[in-house]
Amino acid sequence: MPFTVEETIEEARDQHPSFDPQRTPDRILFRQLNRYVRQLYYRAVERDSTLYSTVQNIPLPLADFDAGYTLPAFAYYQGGTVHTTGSWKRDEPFNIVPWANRYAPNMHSAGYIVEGVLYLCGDAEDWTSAESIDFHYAPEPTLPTDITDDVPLPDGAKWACVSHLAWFMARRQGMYEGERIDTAEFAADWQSAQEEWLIEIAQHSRGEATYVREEW
Amino acid sequence: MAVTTTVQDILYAAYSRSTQNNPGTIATESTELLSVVQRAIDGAYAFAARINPTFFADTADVVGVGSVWARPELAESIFLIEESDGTEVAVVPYNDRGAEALKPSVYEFGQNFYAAGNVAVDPGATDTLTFYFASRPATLTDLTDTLDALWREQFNELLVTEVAIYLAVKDGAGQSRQTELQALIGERNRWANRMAAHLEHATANLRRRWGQIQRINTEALLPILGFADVNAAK
Repeated sequence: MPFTVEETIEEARDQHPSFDPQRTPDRILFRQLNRYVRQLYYRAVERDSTLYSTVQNIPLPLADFDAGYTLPAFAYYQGGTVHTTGSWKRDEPFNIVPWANRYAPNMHSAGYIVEGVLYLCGDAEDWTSAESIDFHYAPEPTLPTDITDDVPLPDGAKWACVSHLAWFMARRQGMYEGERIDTAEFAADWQSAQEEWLIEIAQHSRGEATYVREEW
Repeated sequence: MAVTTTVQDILYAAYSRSTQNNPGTIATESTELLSVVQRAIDGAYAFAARINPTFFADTADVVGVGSVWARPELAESIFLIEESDGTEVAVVPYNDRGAEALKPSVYEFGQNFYAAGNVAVDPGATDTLTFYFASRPATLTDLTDTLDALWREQFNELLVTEVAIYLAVKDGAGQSRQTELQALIGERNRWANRMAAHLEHATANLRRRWGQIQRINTEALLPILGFADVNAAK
């Protein structure tokens, strides 16, 4: 079951008697949580590249080959498939190559991305046998816009989020008059919660078989 | 238990504190001493608001007029505002109206509360808001009036000594009644301490998630002392 911003804030306030809404209003915690969730999301997909995945089907031919195809906002590209037509109908891997290599030989079924626009290598004629490309990507996280929204992370990340907000409140109070709080303990709690969750995420891909693909 | 003490009861008890008190001659009862009793109980409620805000507490439903809600007349210290469905309305500073932009919020200005301008969540312009507050006592208008319904009669002596002090001062505290005055002040302070203690421990099984030491944000201003600090360091 997903967890909400509201319950994350509630649980963070449980961590110290002085973490009340008068000192740190919900809105401040909401913004901090959004910053942290985005950061944590990227760290998570770094460890498990398919933790989040969406497919964008790009029909071919493109309306304007030279203009390319504007991609949705994405965190990073995971891979793609070119679907071909005719008697040769089969699927091929689609590769993204650096812009600088766009004219390199053997750039078959490849494209490059410039400012969020996908351009296909070669000429329009090179793509006549292809009917579409499936572009697999990790989407940008959909950050909450309201306190009742869900946090866009798996349940296991809840304690990392809670302890991050607790550390944030402790640090915030340490910057101002009032009861000083030892931030080190809260920082340690947060760091270990974050590390534990990232280890948990990394386990997801542990059993995957990998192989080295020859490139020529 | 219903309060039965009248203003007159307090005055009689105050007169009896000194053989030098002559009822009705040092101070008029129905105007002067009535006001003294009122001020004394006002003061007691004011300091109670700091020690135990919910002790002499009340609520008032205020109807919005064009997104403006008047501060309840008897509110000594407001500690909670709710919409009719129980949703809390946050009070934010007038110069930081977006402080709780995700929640219904109001700011206070000139003893009126205004919608903070967070359009999607603010209370409706004519909504009724319920204010919870530490209350001031009811106004006394006659010597036969009973004291405020929430008053604790076990602390009547606090009011009695306040009146007795007033009489002693007015009757020449500088000379003949100085000793008596000091004794009365001491006694008044002891009763005030007793009342403060009661306010602290009246309900001792309260559980809190946070705010065991309660602090309040005030609008009090302090000067920026940066330059003073630099100079002090020289």
